[in-house]
Amino acid sequence: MIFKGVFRAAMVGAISLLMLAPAPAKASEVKVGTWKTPQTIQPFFYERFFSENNKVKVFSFTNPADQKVALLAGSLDMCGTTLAHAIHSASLGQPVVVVAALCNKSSALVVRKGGPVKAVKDLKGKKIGYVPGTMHEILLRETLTRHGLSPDKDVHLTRVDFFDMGMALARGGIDAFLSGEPFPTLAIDQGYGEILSYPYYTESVGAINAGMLVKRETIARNPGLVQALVDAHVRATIYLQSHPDEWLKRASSFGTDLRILEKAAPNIELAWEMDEDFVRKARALGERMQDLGVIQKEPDYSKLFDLSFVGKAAR
Amino acid sequence: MSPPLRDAAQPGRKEKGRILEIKRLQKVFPLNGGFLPALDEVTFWAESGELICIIGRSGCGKSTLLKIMAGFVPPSSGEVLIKGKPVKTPGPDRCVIFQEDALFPWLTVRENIAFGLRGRDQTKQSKAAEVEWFLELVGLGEFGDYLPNEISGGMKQRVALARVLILKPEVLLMDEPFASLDAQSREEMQNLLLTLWQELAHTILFVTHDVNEAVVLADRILLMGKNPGRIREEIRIDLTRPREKETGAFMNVSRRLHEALRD
Amino acid sequence: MHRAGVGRVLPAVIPALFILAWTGASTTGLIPTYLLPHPLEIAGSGYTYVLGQPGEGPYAGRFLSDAGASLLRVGCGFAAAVAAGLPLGILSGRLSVVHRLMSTTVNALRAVPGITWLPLAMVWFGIGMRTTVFLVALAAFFPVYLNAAAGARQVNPLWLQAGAMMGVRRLRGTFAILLPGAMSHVMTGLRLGLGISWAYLVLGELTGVPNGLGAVIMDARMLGRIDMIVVGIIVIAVIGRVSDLLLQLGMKFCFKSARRGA
Repeated sequence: MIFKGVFRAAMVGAISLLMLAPAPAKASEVKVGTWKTPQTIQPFFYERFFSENNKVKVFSFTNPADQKVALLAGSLDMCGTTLAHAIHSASLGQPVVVVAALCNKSSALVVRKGGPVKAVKDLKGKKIGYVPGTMHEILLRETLTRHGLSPDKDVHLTRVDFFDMGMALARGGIDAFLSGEPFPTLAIDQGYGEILSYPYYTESVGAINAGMLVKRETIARNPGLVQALVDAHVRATIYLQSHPDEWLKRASSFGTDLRILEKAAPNIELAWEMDEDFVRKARALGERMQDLGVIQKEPDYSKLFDLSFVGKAAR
Repeated sequence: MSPPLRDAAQPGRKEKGRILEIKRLQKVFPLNGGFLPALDEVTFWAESGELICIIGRSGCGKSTLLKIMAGFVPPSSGEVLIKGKPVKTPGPDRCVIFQEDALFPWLTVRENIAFGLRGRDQTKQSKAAEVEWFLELVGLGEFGDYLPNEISGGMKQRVALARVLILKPEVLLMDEPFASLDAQSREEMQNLLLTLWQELAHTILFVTHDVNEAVVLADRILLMGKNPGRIREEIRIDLTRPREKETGAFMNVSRRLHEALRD
Repeated sequence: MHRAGVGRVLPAVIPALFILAWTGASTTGLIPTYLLPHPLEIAGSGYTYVLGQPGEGPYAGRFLSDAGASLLRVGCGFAAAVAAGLPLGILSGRLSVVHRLMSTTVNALRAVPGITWLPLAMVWFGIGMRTTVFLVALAAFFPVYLNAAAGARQVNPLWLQAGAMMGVRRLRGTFAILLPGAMSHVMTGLRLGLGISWAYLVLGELTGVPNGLGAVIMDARMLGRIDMIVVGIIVIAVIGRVSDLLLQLGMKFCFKSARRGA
C-alpha cells in the first residue's frame, strides 16, 4: 500500500523535474535579452536586419545575471552581458561565449553638486553606493585604488541598487556612485549631481563595458544562427551610429526624457567590434577581478571570446 | 465546613432593614421609531437577608430589571438604592450569577474564584486560604485546577457562586441561573443555594420562570406582568424550609401562582 | 504500533523525495549544474557560509553577522507592527468609532503589494535600516491588527460584565479579560505577522543595507550563485520556523490564556 503511494509520488516528482528541463526553442522565433538603456538598445533593431521569415523577440532585464540564467536555461538564444559578468561566468565553468561587443564607455563617477568632493582623493571617508559583483563595482575599485584609496578601508562602500542611487545621493544617504548612463546624466540634469571622473583607463581595462553572449552549445549546434544574430547586431549598430536621432528617439521610449539622452549621448559608444586589443583589455579586467578576489581563477579567454563571427560579419 | 475567616463573611447579619430599594423604575427602549415600555413604575424593596424571587412570563422584563439593578443598563428614570445610596454602575456590592456560563475559560476554577481578589491589599497566603475556603464551600474542593471546559454545567454554576461570594456582596442577583441544568442538578444547586444563604445570609434576588423553584426558595415572590412590565402581585411564603413539593401547602401556593401567571 | 511508526515518518517523505530527485537530476546531468547545483555543492556552500572563517571566500563565515542583522530588522519591524496593530486592533474590535475610522484605510492599504512601497519608502526614509524596518512593519501590521480586532470582537460580553461587577475597571479589564479572551486570535495574528515579516525582510534588504540574509540572496542572484540562493532560502526558512516556535513559547510563558489555548 505505502510503496504504491511512494512510487506515485516519485513519478510526479520526476515528471515535474523533467518539465524543468530546457524547452527546445521554436524554429522561426529568435529570443534575445538585453537592458532597456540607450547603450544596450541594438537588439530592439535586430528584426529589421533579419531575413523576412525570422521574428526576433526581445526580452528586457535589469541586470546581466538574470538574462544569463535565461540564456543557460535555453529561454534565450543570445543575451547582453557586462564583460565582468561574462568573465565571472566563465570562471565558474559556465559554457558562455562573447561573440560581439555591445557598448563601450557609458559610465561615470558622480558626486553631489557643490559638495566637498572635488577630486577622487576627497572621497576618503565618504559613503559610496555600489552593487556587489557588478562591472561598475570593479571600475569603482579600480578608480579608488588608482588614487591611493583602499576601497575597503578608506571609504564606506554602501550597498544600493542602481535605480536608487540617484535618490540616495540627493538625500545624502551616499556621497558618490559609479554607474551606467542615463543615471549620471539624470543626476546632473536634476541638479543634485556632477560628474567627478570617467573610469576609462586606456592602459588597462580601457572603456570596454558590455558584449553579446551566446551558449557554447548554440555555436556548435547552430553556427548559422549565431552568425545571423551577429550580422544583425553589426548592421543595427552601424545604422544607429549613423542615425542618432532615431537611436535616441527609440531610447526615449524606455522612459527617460529625450533631452537627457541627448546630453548623455557623448558618453555613450555603441559598439560591435572585437579585436585582440579588446581581448587584452578584457584580460586586464579579469586580472583585476582575481586580485580583488571576485573570481577564484581566471577563465580561458580564448574560449570565452570568439572573434570569428564579427570577423565574418557582413556589413 | 471550616469556620468562616472574617465577620464580614456574613454581611446580612450586621444590619437589618432595607438593603435594596427600587423606586419607580422605568425603562423604555426605542423601537421602530416608537417606544417599547419594558418597565413601568416598578417599585419594591428587599430587607437584609431576604430571598426574593421574581417570577413572570417571558418578555415581562424581569431580566431587564435585573440588569438595571446590577448596573449594566441604565434606567430611563427611577432609582436603585443600596443601603440608601443610589447606584448606577456595576460593582461588587451587587453581584450577578448569569444564566449562561460566564466563567473565564482561560483560568482554572481556583483562578476564577480568585479573580475578584485582584488588586486587594492582602497577602498572597491569605488570598489563597480564602479561595480554598470558598472552593470547599461550594463543594469543589478537588476541582481547583480544572478548566471550565472540563467541568459540568452544575459545577460551573458552583464556581460562579464561589467567585461572587468571595467578594462579600450585599446583594446577590441571580438571573435564571439553574435554567440550563438538568432536573437533578437543578435540585442540587437549589439546596446548595439555600445552605449557603442560611450560612452567609445574603440578600438574594432570584429571577426565574419556574414556579416550583420560586416556591422552594423564596421568602417573598414578586409576580411581574408584561406590557408594560410591572409588579402585579406580591406573595409571602411562610412555609418552613426545606419545603417538600408534595405537601398540600406547597401545591396550594404553586397553583395560585400558576393561575396568577396565566392572566 | 506499525501505524505510529509510519505516522512519524510521513512529514519527511516529501522533502526526502524532493532531495532524492534533485540529487538524481544533478548527478545524471539531466539538469546542468550551472542551472541547478548539486545538493552536495549546496551543502558545502552552506557549511562554509555558516561555519567557515571569514576570508576563505566571498560568503565564508558571514552567517552570524547576516543573521544578526536580519534578526534585528525583523525584530524591530515586527515589534513596531505589534505596538501599533495590537492596541488598535483591540480598540477597533470593541469601539465602532475606531473601527469605522480605520476600516477603509486599512483595507485599501492592505491591497497594495509590499514591493510597490519600496521606492516610496526610500524617498521618505532614505537608504538604510529604516526603510527595511518600515516595510517589515507595514506588512506585519495587517495580520496583527485584523486578528486582534476579530478576537476582541468575539469576546463574550458576559465576561466583561462579570469583570465589571467584580470591580475590574476599564484599563485593568482590558488586560485581565479582553486580551486573554481574544488570545487565540491574537496568537494567530502574531504568528502570521512574524511570518510575513520574514517574507518582507528579503524585499527590504534588496537595497540600501550592507548585509543580511535577504541581501545575501539578492547578491547571489546578481552573481549567478544559485547555490547561495538556495542556502539563503533554507537558512531563512529554518530561522523563520525557529522564531515562530520561540514566539509561541514566549507567549505561552507569559500568558495563561496562550498556554491553555482558550
